[in-house]
Amino acid sequence: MKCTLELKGIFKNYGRLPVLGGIDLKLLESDAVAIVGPSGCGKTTLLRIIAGLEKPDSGVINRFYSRLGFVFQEDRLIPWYSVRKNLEIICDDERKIQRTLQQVGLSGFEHYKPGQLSGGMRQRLNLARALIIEPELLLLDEPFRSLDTPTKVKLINDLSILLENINISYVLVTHDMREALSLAKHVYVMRGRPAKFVHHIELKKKMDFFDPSFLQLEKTILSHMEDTEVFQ
Amino acid sequence: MKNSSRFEFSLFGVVLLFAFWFVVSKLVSSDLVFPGPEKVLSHSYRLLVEGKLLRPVGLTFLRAFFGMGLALVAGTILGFLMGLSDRIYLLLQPLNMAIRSVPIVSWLSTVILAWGIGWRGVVFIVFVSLLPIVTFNVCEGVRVVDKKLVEMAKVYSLPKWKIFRAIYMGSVWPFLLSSLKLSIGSMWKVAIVAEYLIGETGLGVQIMQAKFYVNTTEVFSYTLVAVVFGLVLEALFSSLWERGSFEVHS
Repeated sequence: MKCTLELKGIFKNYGRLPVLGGIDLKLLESDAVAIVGPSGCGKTTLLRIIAGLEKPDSGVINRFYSRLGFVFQEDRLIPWYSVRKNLEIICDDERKIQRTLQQVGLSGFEHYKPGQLSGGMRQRLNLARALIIEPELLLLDEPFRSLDTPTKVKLINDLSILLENINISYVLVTHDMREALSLAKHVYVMRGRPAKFVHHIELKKKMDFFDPSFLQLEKTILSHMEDTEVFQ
Repeated sequence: MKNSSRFEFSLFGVVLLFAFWFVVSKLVSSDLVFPGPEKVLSHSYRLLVEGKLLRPVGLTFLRAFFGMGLALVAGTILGFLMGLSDRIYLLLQPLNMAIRSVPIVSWLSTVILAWGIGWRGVVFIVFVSLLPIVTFNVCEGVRVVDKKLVEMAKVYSLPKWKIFRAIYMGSVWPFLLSSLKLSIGSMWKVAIVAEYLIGETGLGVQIMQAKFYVNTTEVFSYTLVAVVFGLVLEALFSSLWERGSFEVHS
């Protein structure tokens, strides 16, 4: 299977603060990867390095893709532009705009401005902007963080179906195990200062929120995140 | 408050102003010192009929508008440069502050020596008076551009002209409009003062000549016209603003 992204020995410090301490990751075509870890452990930094927004202090990044989509933690929509214009500046193909709006459930809201949309709708638009370029690699940086639980569950379900259908590689960064287990087939647990991957779980299939084995897996991941056996 | 009530209140305010003016003029009881509104209005009408009003108003407006236009163009360019580069900001900020602090009369000697009496000096003085306002506002607009939006644009490899148009211009636009609003208020007054001091024609010159002949009623007439015209310009701009005519194309 074709490789999309390869990271070898990525190190990163912010001044004297060590952040990443040797990250290795190989992403194959259509891989669904989640990176979980406590807040502030360096997950977003790793995603920014993959996106080329920051440079690592050392290490090798091999990129085998040409189009990258990024779903930011904050929506980063242009507030004075309408939904349509926010997509149009990325891709002006009318057919793709219509199709993507339909995919994310925003048809009929083309002329609304971001300020007139709910938090969930803004995140859908954030996602639409990433999908419209038909990316080979999609990076998702805690995209559901600011949403209430019902909106989050709905959006995760929709996103899971959508990503299954369009068949792209993606890396989701989150501190929420449920998000990770619902959307990924590989879950990497990141921990420490500097942070490293301390555990890797490969799932046979993506899970839904009400899967009976969900809780057990959640416990396992938590135990690795906190370096102690929890819930025993 | 309803629009009709607002209009009635504003109209009542104008009536109150004229009443106050009328009472003061009666108390002073000297047309040479403080002519009343009825005399000033009838004199203004006479000036209009005799064709002595529209030409000076038109000339002053053209000079003020030309000076403001130049200040908008130059101020936008300088503001962008200062907002984008810290070095240029540090280099030009003292100059910008100095220009802002120089009194209009201090420009006169230079202007008279350079161009003599005439329209160019007036345009220049309007230009230097408004330039720091526009530059400062545009610079602030550029400096508060959301860096996260710029980062988003870089992730999607947007060309620089798209980043400039969609993000920088969108962010600067309200600041540019605010400086335009301030400029419209100031340009008129600055142009009249400049004409008064170094002009050849225009409202300022008419006021200066009326004062020379101790014709206070005529001074008041031209002043009234200047005030009304200035208010109409500001009201016109505000109405376009409120209707959203200046919104960034969405």
